Amino acid sequence: MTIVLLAILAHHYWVMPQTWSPEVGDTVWCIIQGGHDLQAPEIEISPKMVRSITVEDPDGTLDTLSPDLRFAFVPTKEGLYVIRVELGPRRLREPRYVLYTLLPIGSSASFRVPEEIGTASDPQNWPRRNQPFHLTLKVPTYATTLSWQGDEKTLKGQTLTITPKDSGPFLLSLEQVTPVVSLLFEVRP
Amino acid sequence: MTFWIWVLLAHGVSWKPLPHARVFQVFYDNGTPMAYALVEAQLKDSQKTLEFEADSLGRIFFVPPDSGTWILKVSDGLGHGVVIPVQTSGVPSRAPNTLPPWQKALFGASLIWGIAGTAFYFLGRRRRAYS
Repeated sequence: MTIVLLAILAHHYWVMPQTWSPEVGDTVWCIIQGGHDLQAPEIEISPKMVRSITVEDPDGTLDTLSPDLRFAFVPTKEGLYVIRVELGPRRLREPRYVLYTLLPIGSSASFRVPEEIGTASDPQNWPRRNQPFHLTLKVPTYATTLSWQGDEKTLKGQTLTITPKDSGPFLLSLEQVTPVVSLLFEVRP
Repeated sequence: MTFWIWVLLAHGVSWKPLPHARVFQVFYDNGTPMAYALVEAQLKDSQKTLEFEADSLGRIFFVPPDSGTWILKVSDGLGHGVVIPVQTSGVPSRAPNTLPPWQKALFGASLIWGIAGTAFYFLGRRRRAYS
């Protein structure tokens, strides 16, 4: 007997920090969430599906945290921290989802994207409302994009242009064959 | 090393069909199997529950330990899931005793021998102490 489940890609996942403006020395709590809407997470995620959590500091030093739905770290310097979470059964060779959250500490953070996704060519600073920014995708299996609070999405080759129309957290889902990559960062007013 | 291999080979291997077993496969609508899906089986009107996983191809092998209506809640742990009702009947309520009769007899005799031997040992010590 075969059971078919509908709408595998209808859900999105992200890592939401408790605050977008932590200071050096603060304990930064984060929670892994999922749902249809960034503002209203609704999916119950099993802790067994959290494969790994790493936090990269502005110097590129990696800190591996214990995998759980809630976790915390303490930033020790100013700059942009990259939080990376893998979701999916631990017995699978590849994760089913890879989540990134870009979290600025202090005021010196500049916008950049993890290597697996691509590079931001313009602007160099943190994305702002109504200011287009570009992502150069390095992933060849890239298929479609989804985003919240953004418009003017255009896809030219493998360069994606997005214009955030609101401030606040911005979630970008890059749907590949596997895994699905989500990128969450703050858009400043 | 060789000795241990001989010992392993000295054990017999057998097999039997599982007439009450059920097999399902779960996968997403794009054809991807729900690999290692989490399964929670609950016997209706009972507190009995079982937890296990699907295999890498999303296949669920369920051998109900009791008769009745089992509800299998299958989930990928990320918000996708399905409920599968399984009706079973004629399932033996407990696992059969696999010891053959001669082993049962040997076990009983060893038990009696051990208890009696211990008793006679302490009885003999007591008599020697008084003599």
